[in-house]
Amino acid sequence: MSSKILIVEDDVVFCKLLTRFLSKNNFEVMDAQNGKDALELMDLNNFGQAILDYRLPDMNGVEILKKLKFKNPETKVLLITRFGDEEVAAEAKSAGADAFIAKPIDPDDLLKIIKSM
Amino acid sequence: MKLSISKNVHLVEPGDFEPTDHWYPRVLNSNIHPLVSYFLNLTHEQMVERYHRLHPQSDPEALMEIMTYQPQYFRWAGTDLMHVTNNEGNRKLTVIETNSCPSGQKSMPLLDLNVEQGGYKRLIEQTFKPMVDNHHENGALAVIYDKNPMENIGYAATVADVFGENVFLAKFEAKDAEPPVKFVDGKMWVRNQNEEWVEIRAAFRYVTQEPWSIIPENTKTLLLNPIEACLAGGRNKEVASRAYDDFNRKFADKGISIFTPSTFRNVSFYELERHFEMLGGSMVIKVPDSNAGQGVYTVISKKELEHAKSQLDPNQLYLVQELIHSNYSNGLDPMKAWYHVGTIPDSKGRSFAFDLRLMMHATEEGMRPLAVYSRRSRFPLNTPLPEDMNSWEVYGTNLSVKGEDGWTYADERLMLFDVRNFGQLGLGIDEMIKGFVQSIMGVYAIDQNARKTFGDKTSIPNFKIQTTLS
Repeated sequence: MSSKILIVEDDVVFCKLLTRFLSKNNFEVMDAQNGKDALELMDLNNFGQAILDYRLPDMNGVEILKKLKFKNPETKVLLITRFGDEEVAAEAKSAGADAFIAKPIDPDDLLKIIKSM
Repeated sequence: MKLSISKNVHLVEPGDFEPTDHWYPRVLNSNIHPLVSYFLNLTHEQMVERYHRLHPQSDPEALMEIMTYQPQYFRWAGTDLMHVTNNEGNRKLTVIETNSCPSGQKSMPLLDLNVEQGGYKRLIEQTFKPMVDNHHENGALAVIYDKNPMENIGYAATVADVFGENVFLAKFEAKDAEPPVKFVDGKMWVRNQNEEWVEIRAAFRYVTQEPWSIIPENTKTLLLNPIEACLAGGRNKEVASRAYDDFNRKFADKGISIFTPSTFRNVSFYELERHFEMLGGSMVIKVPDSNAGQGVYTVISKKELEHAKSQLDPNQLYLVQELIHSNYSNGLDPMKAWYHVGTIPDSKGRSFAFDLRLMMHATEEGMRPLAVYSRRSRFPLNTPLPEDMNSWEVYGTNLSVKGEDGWTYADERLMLFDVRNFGQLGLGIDEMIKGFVQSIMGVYAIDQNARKTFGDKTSIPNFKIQTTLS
């Protein structure tokens, strides 16, 4: 399985900080701040894991999740939700999400989840 | 660090500072040039004495007054300067603009290798902390920003370390319909992880896009810099120009003055062509509130004038300045024109226009230089401009690219003040002293204008009184 991780989150600070944090932990990371850019990265790369925010400017995280799983069912997907977003969690679970994490996010906690997926 | 505690808010904790996150990779591997290090360590007395040697007409006492001045509003500033010469080879540093939210830390090599937070720490420890300690309000600390996250995360992490407490890092934009920051009766509040509003006692402010539309005057929350610094000329070029003229009148008998290209204020859209003709067929048009290289047009032909006018609002007033020329402008009065000195020619003989960004801060001693770097233009000065090329390619030096987020920039044109690049600029300590003196005179002028416009502030640390009492 590829060790590349895709991060899709519209907050550029979040994307960059997490990208750098995971890079320092020996992951190869690519990031996008909207769905369109994420789809372009998916066309050109195979990702072993993906971290997706649900709310994006042009589509939602579950739509990207479905495309990732369609391209490669082995890709592990972690969806970022807001606390109490149970409907979103249910929709994502049925679409094949492998894990969830609620904001705010502690990068160390996130790393543990990624390593366990 | 806790990411996304609420929309566009992160919580930065002590220990979060990571040098690789707050400097360009190229800068992390650079070594400051010894002359630059020497300059940054000069005392005010040394700089005054040297400036006086270089400009015998200048009054050392007046210079020292400006060096040791404690600004009330404008305690952190950046200037853009250009190294220019005239037909007699009289070289000067000219002030192009003064900025109240200056970038620069990410481009500055470490002054002291043992202080890994570099200029971030000097600014927060020597400027922000004494102000906060002297400002008696309740609440947390914050950094509010709308661009340049690379430096602003660095500032938030440094504030967290210096104060030993968590810091809210909040993106605050005029276009955000539900911003995570609000002001109520002058007090700033930030939205936390429970969607509750948390009061803020002091904030480091890097909000550059129409900040006056979202930040009030006379806030109870201490801001570095407060909005008054922008309104008094730290952002508005027309107001700054008037403040410089006031300064030059005040110090006319002291032999010092702020040197800028000849400037015409409040020029209507319909008078632009007349100014173009009057200035010999070239000029710079500036939208007074613009920044980051936006809203600035270099014009060297009728075609460029028409293009600039097509971008401008006919109902607005503009600032027109004399163009700092390359050697290829025709029809100039040799006694009045100023030229770019340019970089030392490279192995292909190319010399480029460049500017200097000098960041300064108010400390116990007065104003001190903090960071400095240069940016060069894309196209050389000493080659005829191809017919279809815009003159901005020769004269424009800003590095910002569309969608700039602090991680993307025109790297090949950034000139560090390091061992490798500094020599290419052809600058020496004397030029840095001249540039610093020009810069602090600009800060003095704008702060005086703020005090005249908004009144004296009472919560600025009076270092001299504190020293006497202790």
